[in-house]
Amino acid sequence: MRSPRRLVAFRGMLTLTVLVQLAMAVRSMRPVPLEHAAVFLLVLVGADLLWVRLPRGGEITAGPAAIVATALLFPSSPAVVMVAVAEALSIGVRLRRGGGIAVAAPSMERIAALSLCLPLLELGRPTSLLSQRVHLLSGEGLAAASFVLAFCACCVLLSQIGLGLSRGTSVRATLRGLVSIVGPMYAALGALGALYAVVYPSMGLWAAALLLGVLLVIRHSFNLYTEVRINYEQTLRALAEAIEAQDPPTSGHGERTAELALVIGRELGMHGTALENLTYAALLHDIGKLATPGDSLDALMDARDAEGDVYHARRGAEILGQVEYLKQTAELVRHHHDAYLASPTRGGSPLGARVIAVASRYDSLTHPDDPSAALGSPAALRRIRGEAGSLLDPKVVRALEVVLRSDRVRLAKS
Amino acid sequence: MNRPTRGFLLLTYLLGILAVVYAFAEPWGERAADAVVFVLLGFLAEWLAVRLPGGSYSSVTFAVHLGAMLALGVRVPVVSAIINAFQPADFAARKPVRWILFNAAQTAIANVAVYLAFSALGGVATFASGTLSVRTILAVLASVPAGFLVNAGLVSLSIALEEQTSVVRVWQRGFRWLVPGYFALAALGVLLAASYTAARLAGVLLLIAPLLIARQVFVLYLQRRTAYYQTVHSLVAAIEAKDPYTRGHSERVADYAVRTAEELGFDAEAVEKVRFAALLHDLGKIAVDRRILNKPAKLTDEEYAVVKEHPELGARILGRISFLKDSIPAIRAHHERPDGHGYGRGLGSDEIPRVAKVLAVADGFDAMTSARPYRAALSVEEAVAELLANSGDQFDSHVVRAFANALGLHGAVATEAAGTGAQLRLDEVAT
Repeated sequence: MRSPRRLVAFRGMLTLTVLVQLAMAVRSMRPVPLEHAAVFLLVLVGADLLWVRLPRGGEITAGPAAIVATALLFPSSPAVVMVAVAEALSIGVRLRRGGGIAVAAPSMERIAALSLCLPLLELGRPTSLLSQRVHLLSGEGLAAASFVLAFCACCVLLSQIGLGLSRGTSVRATLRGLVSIVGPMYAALGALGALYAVVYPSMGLWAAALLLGVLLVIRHSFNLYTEVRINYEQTLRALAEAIEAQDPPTSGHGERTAELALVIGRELGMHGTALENLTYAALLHDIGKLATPGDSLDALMDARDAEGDVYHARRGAEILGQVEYLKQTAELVRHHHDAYLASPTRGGSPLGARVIAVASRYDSLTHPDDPSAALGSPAALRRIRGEAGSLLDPKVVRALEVVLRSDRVRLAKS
Repeated sequence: MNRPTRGFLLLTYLLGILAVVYAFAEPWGERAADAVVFVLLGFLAEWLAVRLPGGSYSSVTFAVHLGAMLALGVRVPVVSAIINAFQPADFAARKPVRWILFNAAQTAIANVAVYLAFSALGGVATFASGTLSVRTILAVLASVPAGFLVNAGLVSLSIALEEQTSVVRVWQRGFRWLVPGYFALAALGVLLAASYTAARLAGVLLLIAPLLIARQVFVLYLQRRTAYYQTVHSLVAAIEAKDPYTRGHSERVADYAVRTAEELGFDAEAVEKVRFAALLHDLGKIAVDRRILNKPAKLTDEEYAVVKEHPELGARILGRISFLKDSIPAIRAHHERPDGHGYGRGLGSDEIPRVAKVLAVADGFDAMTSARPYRAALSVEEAVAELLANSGDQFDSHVVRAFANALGLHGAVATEAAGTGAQLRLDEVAT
């Protein structure tokens, strides 16, 4: 794990920024129409409590949309103060849900992003947006648009840095997160916030109710997606367990191989779909054993057919290949027994397959069918090092050594 | 094409023409450029429609039409409805022209229906009043059902006529669960009109980005859902392939169970759960030694005890799948009997989940109609007679009736023999 000290420093700096900006905002505070302020406090808190889980962990709230609208409709200082009050309220609610003081982090990120980007808006702010129509293609409109874009970018950046630091992933992986689903999501929130600001003067709270409808629909499809992803993975795990239940000594092999393959894959810089395929393939890499007929399973298991494929790897690939979505996973399974040296160009088989070969080998040494023959981690690693370059890919073996040395693999080490 | 369908189509065309004439007689916003943008937007919405598993499509076209109606008058959505019917994808798929025209007509009629309801409820479009009053918003929301009824009603009627099934079934299969979606679309439509009123086309553009995101996520969801189906199907098939006597068993049980559940009036979501529970109901059995399962002779007590563990084992393995959480008790109880002589936990009739009773009937029927190492397969009639003879003690009688209805085995039911006399082994249904 990379030092959490960096995370503490990052959050400390954020908090400091927020406090300084807040103090300045309070000093230059101007009165605002109370009824509008009350409405916006409500909307800010409500939006922040409307959260969705993201497919790859973490969550996102509609908060940024409400902040954008507040910033566009109120003068800077009151906007910062209102957002801060609303965030404090929602931190209170979050604390009651549990999770400790870390639940305050997203709020800090948002307030910091707001105060950093507000000067852009000041470049062309009309006297009072509440009583005046916004023309998006005027100077004011451009200032507003650049503020919204900058604010969203700032929010994504800060939240990704925070997430990256707390998970101990590399900066590269963190930045990659930006282009995935999070970036577009924030863009959408920014647009909805701007829309709310545009519609609010004529429609008031009705606009909030209608936007809530739209947000709920978006949230619903997100939840559906996240749920089906989770179910998919759980089902694959259950099927892997069922397959292994036939052969008690191997039980847990798929699960452990998947866990180890995942950290090795990450270490090697794999990400996104590739990592997902790797996990699935590692879980199910021995599924082809199901198709070997009768009780002579062990004899057939390592038998090679004319093409030089290990029979069960080929059968496994055929089974998984029937599923459109698992086509690439099937390829990894097909090649997971390929000897590194034997492939036409070294490393000709997919990287994921070479990772599974190493992870599966390590697990079968540390958890063999006969428990008394189990090797400890150092002995298994020595054996694997001996096979690097011939059976196994040396690059992957090095990655295995790195992850075993760090404490990223608890299960595989024990 | 049969005669009722032809008559129905002609009637729809006629009403469609009337709708267009009516729409053009009504006042409108008289901003041709903006109207073109709305029509383009409508086309885009239809073009980006997402295909749903049931075969229907989901799009925000309804919202765009509602927004256009509020912003510029009923003429715009009616024009958009007609243009939308001519989708490139439909031509590519060689959709018959009569159905393309049908779509044009039915959406035009639905739009006019909404407009009529909306006007009757005192709503005023923004091009006339310059603002969206609360009354107008309420009128829009209240007139949504009119559009939905016309749209879904005409479409399910056309499908029912074409496939010669009942309208109610088509409706349940494809449309019932769309109702909440329509209100969300209505909210979106009002928002579209409000954005247009406040900031003209710029406001409309702001709304497009979030909608595209929502669509993208929804598409991802559907893709993964399909993957889920295929994965479970092919893995279960692979597991069963080892054993010639169970090959295809789960697949068939799933088919029977789904049809029975539909007959029993389960909603779409519950039917889905039944499908997966049925597909996976015997997962615990792959952990049972093949030699026991395929033993041609009578099982010893120890061997039978092992076989009897499989529902519990399956329930344990599947227990971690959150989607199946509600189905676990059913999988655990699929060998229980209403008379309490089943195996598992020895539950009584009212303790057995309904889904378990459905699984038991589907499972029993497939076991009886499949060959076993120690006996030949029963015929369908014999198996149904057996189900009926044992209904009440081994099988739930209500479920057996639903099963026979769902599979169209009325003929077999009529012969209602008192069993075939074929002596089934006690552990029959287990294998």
